[in-house]
Amino acid sequence: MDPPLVNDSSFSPANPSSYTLSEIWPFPINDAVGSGLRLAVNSTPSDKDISTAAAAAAAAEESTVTDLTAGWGGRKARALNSEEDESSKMVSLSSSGNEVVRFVRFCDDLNVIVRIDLVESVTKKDSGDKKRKLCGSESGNGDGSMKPEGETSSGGGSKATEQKNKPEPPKDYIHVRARRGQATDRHSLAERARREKISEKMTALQDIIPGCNKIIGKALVLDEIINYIQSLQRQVEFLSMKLEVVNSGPSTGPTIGVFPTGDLGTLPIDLHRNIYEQQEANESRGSHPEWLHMQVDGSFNRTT
Amino acid sequence: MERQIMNNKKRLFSVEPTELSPSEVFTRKYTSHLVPALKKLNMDKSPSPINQLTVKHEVDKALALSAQEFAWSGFLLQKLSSSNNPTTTTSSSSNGTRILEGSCKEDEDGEIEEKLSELRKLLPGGEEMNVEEMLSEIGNYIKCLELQTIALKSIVQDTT
Repeated sequence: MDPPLVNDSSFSPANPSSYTLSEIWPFPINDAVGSGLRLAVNSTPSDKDISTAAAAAAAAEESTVTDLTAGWGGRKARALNSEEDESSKMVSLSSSGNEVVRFVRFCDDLNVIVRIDLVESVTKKDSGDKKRKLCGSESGNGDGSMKPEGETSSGGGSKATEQKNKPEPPKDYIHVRARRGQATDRHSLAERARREKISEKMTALQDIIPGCNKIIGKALVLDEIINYIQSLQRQVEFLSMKLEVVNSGPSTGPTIGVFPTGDLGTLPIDLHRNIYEQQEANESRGSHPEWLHMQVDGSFNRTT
Repeated sequence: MERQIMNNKKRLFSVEPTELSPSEVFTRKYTSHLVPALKKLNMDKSPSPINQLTVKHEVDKALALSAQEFAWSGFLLQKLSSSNNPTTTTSSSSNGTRILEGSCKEDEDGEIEEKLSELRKLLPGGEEMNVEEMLSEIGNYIKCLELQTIALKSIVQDTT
């Protein structure tokens, strides 16, 4: 199946160094794709030709996307497309080297993609992660998001070329950027944005709560938060009990009775001094560590 | 005249004379609410068994009044005004067992959900908020609780 976009000048029918498709692409694929790849393989070994070939192959892929959609699913084909764009760029940029190697790498990228999809579909435990990574960008963004997708996947692609045939999908992208795959709707995007906000807030909370920085995992962090709040509340309760005892004692100190009620500016200096000394003591003791410091520096507003 | 002296002395303690950090603001508000209330309590203290609840009540009220820029303070005030038994901290013991139960669940998301609902119970007004709001409110709440603890400690120290 000859795609109309192929540049005929770059293809010679009998190339002594041509390879069978099965050598390079051991996976069973659609005929359309196979023909596209065959075209790429049979080109003459020159940089320019390779880049045109790769581009042609990419274009071929593009033109066969609609055919493949039924077979592979839209996301895979699109991913192939973007992956190939990046690979073709890489191929054209590589200065020297065997044509074999280049095309093997090129096909390796495709290889990796297919494997990635399979692996992703099989080995995801966390459904949230799956949505995050598999969500497609095709929904409304079109070309604008294809580039970032290409960028992120090129990072994964270069990884793949360094380790050939390693089925390790690039898993460490935390951005909202839609990864390949799933949904086209706004809902999953919005949901992912929401999840991001939530995890942002969780990290902010981790900063506040002492000892939470080293903990990884939402559940554990939440545990810590709960424990901390409970201990604070218990402390307040205890102190208020103590205060009640003190208050109902025979004499309350002169400091409490000195000032008029409800007047903000005329609190006794002793009380203030006490409070700030306490804060400082806490800082040095480390029982209420860095966050207090942060507060005094005015970064309190970060969590509000 | 006295006020001037007070203001001058105040400058010794704050790093920047005109600028008050939010924690300072909160602490001052808090003590200014609580201490007079305690004094008032002290003056008319005829029914003694109620005292414990009342002190706690005042403590919570002072907390809510000094943190009115946050959502949870409104809820706390509501709770306080509706009943004389504030339930913000009395349920802490029962929550302790809940967490153990939650950790036995196999479903990760279910665990997290349960912990989030725990948090909601801890935070006044948490039941009515969605997750995002609740998380930001919790940050404020924790800080105010900490400041409150410090203020209470110093008040107790002062009077013993």
